[in-house]
Amino acid sequence: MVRAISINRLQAKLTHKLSGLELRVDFAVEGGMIVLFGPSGCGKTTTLNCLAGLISPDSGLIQVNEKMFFDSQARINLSPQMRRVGYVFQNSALFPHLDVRRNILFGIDDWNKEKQKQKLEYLVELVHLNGLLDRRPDQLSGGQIQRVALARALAPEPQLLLLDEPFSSLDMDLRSQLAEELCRVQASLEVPVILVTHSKEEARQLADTVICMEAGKIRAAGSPAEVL
Amino acid sequence: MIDPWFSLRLSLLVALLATAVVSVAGTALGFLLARVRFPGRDVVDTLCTLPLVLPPTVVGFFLLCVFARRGALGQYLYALTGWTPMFTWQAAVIAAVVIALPIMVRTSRGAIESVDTTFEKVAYTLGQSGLSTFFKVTLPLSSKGLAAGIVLTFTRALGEFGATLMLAGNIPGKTQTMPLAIYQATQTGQDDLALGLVMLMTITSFGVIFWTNRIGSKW
Repeated sequence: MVRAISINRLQAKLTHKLSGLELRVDFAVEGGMIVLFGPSGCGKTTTLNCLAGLISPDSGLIQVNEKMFFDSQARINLSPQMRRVGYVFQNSALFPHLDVRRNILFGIDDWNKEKQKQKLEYLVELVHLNGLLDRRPDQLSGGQIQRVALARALAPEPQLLLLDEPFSSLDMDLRSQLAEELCRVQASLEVPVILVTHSKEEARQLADTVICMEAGKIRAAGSPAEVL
Repeated sequence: MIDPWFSLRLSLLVALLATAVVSVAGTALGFLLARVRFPGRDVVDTLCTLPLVLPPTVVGFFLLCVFARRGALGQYLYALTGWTPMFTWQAAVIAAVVIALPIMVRTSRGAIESVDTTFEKVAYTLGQSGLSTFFKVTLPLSSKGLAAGIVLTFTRALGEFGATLMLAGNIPGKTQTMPLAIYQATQTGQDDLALGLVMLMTITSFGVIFWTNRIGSKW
């Protein structure tokens, strides 16, 4: 069953054929923390990649606020660079050849030095990275890596933030601690967040809205209490 | 007359110039083959490997067909500039470039393929263009493999014999590189000179590899 929620900030309606899976999703959400929940291989990550512009869906449309990212009928397909979407990948993918500072500044290295410095200080405060700026990614713990990845994605002030299983490599204690931090960050920034997870716990803890996916389709969508 | 120091200088000059050209062209081709799907990719791939498989004299013959005064490219070059690369030291550079290119293409391709594409995707979502992503992410992350390819290219160019002989000839004091000088010395019974040249070549190669290894391990 496909169900639209409310139409304001993010609208995505897309179909995309992959080998062994036909993705067919249609949802519209109004900011807050949106959790894409479902088993492995149900198309969650593919959906994120479509939103970020790393995959072009076969057809459909994607709109964030008034900005059309993708519209197959009007032949609009913005490049990932034009979309201003923050994306934290599953393995976090910090650049191994750069220290924490240069990882975070990577997306804003064309800003003037003063603005870069302000942004860096703000992000260090926001996700608690004091004293880590000169370290290389291989000198960080799992939780620190995820925090840096989050700061790096937030630096260019994205209008949409995508998180692909951001806690999957962390132990339980750290998970819930980081999840709380993420909720705090999300509340302080007015940017819609879409988080992918296959953990029901996480979905319950984090979501304003849960979108349940199964075999490429949306099975249910609504508040965690309604759909989980 | 064989001039050992001229031959050594020429060999080093030819190898350095060829390495400069091949490093850039080979990395670009390696990137293309590793990351871009385009029609005719397999043909380009095979063509890039062919000079490695064919005897250098065969490659030299093809180069004659292309660069000789009446060759496919050579005729236009001659008509435009009145110059032909035949039997000049520049021909030795052309020969070394074509012979050494496959090694660089294969090593750079392998090095670039080993870089997780997620890093490049991250850079795109952070607003970096394809070119800037290449220089800021792909290149530094594949730099060790590329450096190995550059060293191999240099050593292969330094030892090039067959194609060089076909295209540049063996003119003492003009196009006679070290391998050609060694060949001529042994053919004309100057065994002491040949031994001296061989020692000079071996010590130079040893020094180059030893020095680059030292730099590589500190890096």
